Amino acid sequence: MTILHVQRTSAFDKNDFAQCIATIQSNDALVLIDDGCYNLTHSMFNTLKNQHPDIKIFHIDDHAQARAVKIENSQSQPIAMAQLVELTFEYDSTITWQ
Amino acid sequence: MLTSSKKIAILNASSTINEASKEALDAALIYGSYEQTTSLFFQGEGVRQLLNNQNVEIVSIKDYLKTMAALEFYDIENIYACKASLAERGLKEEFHLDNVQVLNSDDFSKALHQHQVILRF
Amino acid sequence: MTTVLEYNGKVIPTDKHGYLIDFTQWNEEMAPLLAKSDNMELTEAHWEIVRFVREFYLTYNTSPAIRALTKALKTKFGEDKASSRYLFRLFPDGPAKQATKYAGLPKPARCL
Repeated sequence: MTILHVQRTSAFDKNDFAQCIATIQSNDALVLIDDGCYNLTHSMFNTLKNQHPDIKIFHIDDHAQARAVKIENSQSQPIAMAQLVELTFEYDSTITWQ
Repeated sequence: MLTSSKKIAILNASSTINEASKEALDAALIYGSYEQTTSLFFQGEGVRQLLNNQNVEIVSIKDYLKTMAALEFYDIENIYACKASLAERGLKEEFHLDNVQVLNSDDFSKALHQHQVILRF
Repeated sequence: MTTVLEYNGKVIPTDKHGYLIDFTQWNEEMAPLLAKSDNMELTEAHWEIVRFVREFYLTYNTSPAIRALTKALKTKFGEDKASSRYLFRLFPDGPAKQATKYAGLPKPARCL
């Protein structure tokens, strides 16, 4: 079974992202929303990339821009909220890490 | 009422004295009452809910930990704890429940992935 | 339905549904009085369940929902008394709801 991991908090502030990384499997996907966008600049993000090089990663474009989080396209794919809704149908279940 | 027979996971990530922990247990008991297959997962601060010798009544909180002993009557038999979360906190596997299965991170994740509905508290 | 329980000339506080506010004030003599407000008379069969529900609450700090109640009863009394049909015959308004009331316990928060 596959899980869509919706990450809403920053690892600079809370432990949710660490637990998310411990739980995520290669066939899952990660979506960074709200303060979760800050995780793109956290060292744990590289840990995740090393553990699961091909994992799908998305972020809500508006949420990253609002926070001036600069993202290279190779790191994460920008999406809008409507696409997040679509993603929830593509995976068997969803965990919101907040 | 839920009509499907999806497997439900309650992912507990809050410490003992936290309203979310009580709500997680309430959710589990409600699913159990509706005969939904329900498993409990304890990760991060959530593992603290399992430790013995806690007495939340001292700080005027209803002792919901006692209620966890009744889970078997709700057919909730799978209770998992994350080994890494316990180790990080320097906690021993000394629980007030006797059927807790302590799993390493990978097995914990795999067990969680067997559920169609995951609710994190 | 009364909302006041008089016992030994004293008023025992109850909620608007007639459940005791403080379960520690209860004793067995109050059970028939609580039942009377629902026009119920307690037989030994009722008592068995009332005592069991009280014991369950003291052990687990929660009133059992109907399914949990039947499962727990099965371990103590066996299959016959562990069916919801048997329980509903004894307590037509809902076994969990009525038995907890006469046992001096709070109204079950989870309504089943």
